[in-house]
Amino acid sequence: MQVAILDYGMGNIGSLEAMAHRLGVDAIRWRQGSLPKGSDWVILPGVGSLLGAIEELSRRDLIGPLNAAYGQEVPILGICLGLQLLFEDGAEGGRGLGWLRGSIPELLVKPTPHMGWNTVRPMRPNTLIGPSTDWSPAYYFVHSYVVQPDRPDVIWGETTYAGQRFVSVVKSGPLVGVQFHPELSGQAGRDFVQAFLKGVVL
Amino acid sequence: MYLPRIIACLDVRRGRVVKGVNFRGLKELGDAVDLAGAYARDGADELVWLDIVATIDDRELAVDLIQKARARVDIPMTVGGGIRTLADVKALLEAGADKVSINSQALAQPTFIAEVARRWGSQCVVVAIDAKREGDHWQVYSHGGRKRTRWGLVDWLVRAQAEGCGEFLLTSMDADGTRHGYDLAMLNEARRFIARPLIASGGAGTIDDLEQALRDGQDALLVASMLHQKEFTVAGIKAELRSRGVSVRWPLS
Repeated sequence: MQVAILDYGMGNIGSLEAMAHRLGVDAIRWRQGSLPKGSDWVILPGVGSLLGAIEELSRRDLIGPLNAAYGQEVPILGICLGLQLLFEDGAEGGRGLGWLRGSIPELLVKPTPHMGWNTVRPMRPNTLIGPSTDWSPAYYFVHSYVVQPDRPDVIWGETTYAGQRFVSVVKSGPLVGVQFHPELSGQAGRDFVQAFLKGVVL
Repeated sequence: MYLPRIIACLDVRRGRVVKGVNFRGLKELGDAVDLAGAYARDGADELVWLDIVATIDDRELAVDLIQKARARVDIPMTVGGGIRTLADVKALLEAGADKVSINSQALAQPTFIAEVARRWGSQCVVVAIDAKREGDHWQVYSHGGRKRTRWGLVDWLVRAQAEGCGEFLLTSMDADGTRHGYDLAMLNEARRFIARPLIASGGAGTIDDLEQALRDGQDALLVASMLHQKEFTVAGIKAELRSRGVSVRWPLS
C-alpha cells in the first residue's frame, strides 16, 4: 500500500513518514502535479496558518490536482491544519478548499494553542475511534483554531478543552479530518490510522 | 478530558545523555537515541531534547541523531540547544523535530522568535528560559545559565509572547538538579502574565513533587534526573500518580 503525503512546505513530513513506516505503508512525497501513480490514499498535513497554507498550495499549483483527487473519491486524511483546509473561511482571513461547508473560528479559551493530550468523544458508534461512545482514547493536539461544520452528520468526534467543546473528527465518505496528530499520538494514533485504512481505504 | 503532560527531558552531548546539578558538573547517563525510544515506549507524553552543541560537527551530528530518534519516537519531540539561524530550525524540523526550543538566540535577538513563528507557525516555537531568584524577583540568564541578562522574568515572558512564542519552558536555576521540588512560586508568577502553555522545569525529585505541582495547577512537567538515575520509570511515575487519584494519559495496558 502507498500513501501520498502532500508536501507543500507546511507539514511535519518526517513524523508522518515515520508513522507510515511503522504501519508498513510506503510513503511518497507529493510535491507537484497530479496524485503520484499507485497512491491508495492521501495525507493532507499542515502546521502553521491557513492563509499561508492556501498560498503555498496555490503557488505550487496543487489545488487543481487536490480537487481532482477529491473528485475521484481518493481517500484523504486531513490532519490539524489539513482538517481546517477542508472547510471554507477561517477567522484569520484564510480560505480553505471548501469541500465541506462550515467555518474555522479561533478557540475562545486560554491558554492557546491547545497543546497536549486530550480525549475524543465519539459522536456515534463508529469504527474510527472506538466501538462504543463510552470509549475515549487520548490523542495529541496542537492548534488555536477549530472547525465548525454546517452539517452535523459529518461530525464523528468531539473534544473539550478548558470548557470549550469543539469538533475533533469529521468524516464524509472517504474524506476524514482530525484536529489531533495521529502521527504523534503513540499507539492510539496508530490504531486510528489503521481503522481509517480498514474502513475507508481497503 | 485534557490530561497533564509528563515530559521526559534529555540533555544531550555528542549523542549521550548528560545531567548536572545547578547547571554544573555534567555526568554521562546513556545513549540518547536509546533513551528517547525507551521513554516514549514507557508512556512519556512528550520529549524535550536539548543538545549541547559546541561546533559545526556537533550540529550535523545532532540533526542525524534527531532523525534516528524520530524513527523510534511516536510522540511529540521538541529539540533545542544552540539554535541560532532559520537554517538550524529548518534542519531540525526536517529531521523530525515537531517544535524547536530557543533560548540564548531569542534573548540576543527577540525578533528571531517572530521570524521562526512567521515561517513555521507559533506552535513550533518554544522559548526556553532559565531564571534565578534575585531579591524580590526572578532574573533571566542565558548561555546555559552562565550569563546574566538585562531581563527580569516577567518582562521577558511578555516580550517573547508578543514576538509569537507558542509555548514556554521555564527552568528554575535554583531548583534544577536539587530534587527538592519545582519552584511553584516562580511558575505561578509566570502564569499570571502569559496566555501560552508553560512547561515547569527544574527540581523534580520525588512523585510527591510531581503530585504537588499538578494539584497546584501546573499541567506540563519536565522530568530529567528522576528518570536518568533509573530510580523511577515513566510508567512507574504514572501508575503511582493514578493510584493517588491524579488523571494522566495511560497508554500502557
